Amino acid sequence: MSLLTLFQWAAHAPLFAVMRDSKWGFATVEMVHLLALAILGGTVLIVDLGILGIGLSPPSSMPRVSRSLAPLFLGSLAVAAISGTLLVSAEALKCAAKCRRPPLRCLGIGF
Amino acid sequence: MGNWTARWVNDTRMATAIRESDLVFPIIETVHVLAIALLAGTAAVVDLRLLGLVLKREKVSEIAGRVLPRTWAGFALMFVSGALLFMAEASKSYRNPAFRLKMLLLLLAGLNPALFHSTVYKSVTEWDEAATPPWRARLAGAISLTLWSAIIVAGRAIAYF
Repeated sequence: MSLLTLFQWAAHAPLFAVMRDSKWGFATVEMVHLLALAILGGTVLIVDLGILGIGLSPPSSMPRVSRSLAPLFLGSLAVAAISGTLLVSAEALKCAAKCRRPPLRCLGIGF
Repeated sequence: MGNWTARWVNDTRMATAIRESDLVFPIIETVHVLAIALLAGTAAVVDLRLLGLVLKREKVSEIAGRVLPRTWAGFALMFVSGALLFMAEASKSYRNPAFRLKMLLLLLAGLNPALFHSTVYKSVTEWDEAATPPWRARLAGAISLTLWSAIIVAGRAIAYF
């Protein structure tokens, strides 16, 4: 199955009807997506800056810090991925058409 | 009065330039969203420590000392980018209920740390290493988490009114 077929399926799937048809369905998922992004960004920053040695935590405490923040990181990543998928499903064909555009390409490379 | 000021801001040259450019508005908006991760994300880690949920073995004062400067950097970035976004749509935003709610919540979110630092945080040396800080510190953490989440939600809702 090509990527386009997948997007075409998503655009018409009854599963995602709420996301397409209701204004507040999309808005609510969008808000959840932003909240997850904030938590994800915060934990990634704290751990990454620590690893880079730009002072968020002394390097010796990094294993403890990253272990303690792992559930937060993985949890917010899961929420962001699920809500992000729902957001794409609401505009699947528009997103498919933009697949070649830089923002979505960067996202793909990022994954 | 507020209405008049909003219209005046709306009609300034800079506001008009941001509004009429194809790229400037989305670029500022992107910076604003990145600043959310910096501000709310780092604040959330401190709040969750106050609640005794993460980094239980690290000192509260150490986390606050190291993380909060980043939170303030995020706040500065968010404030400046947010002010520019507001300028570009001042008249529209002024009448927007979600925007008004967001401003009110921001005010409360500013009062919370001021209150926290002038009261329970003063005695931080007594509970610095406690896995679960005293109830007033936990309350401050819970309030901050709630307010910042509500601010993000209200901010996104601006687009729907």
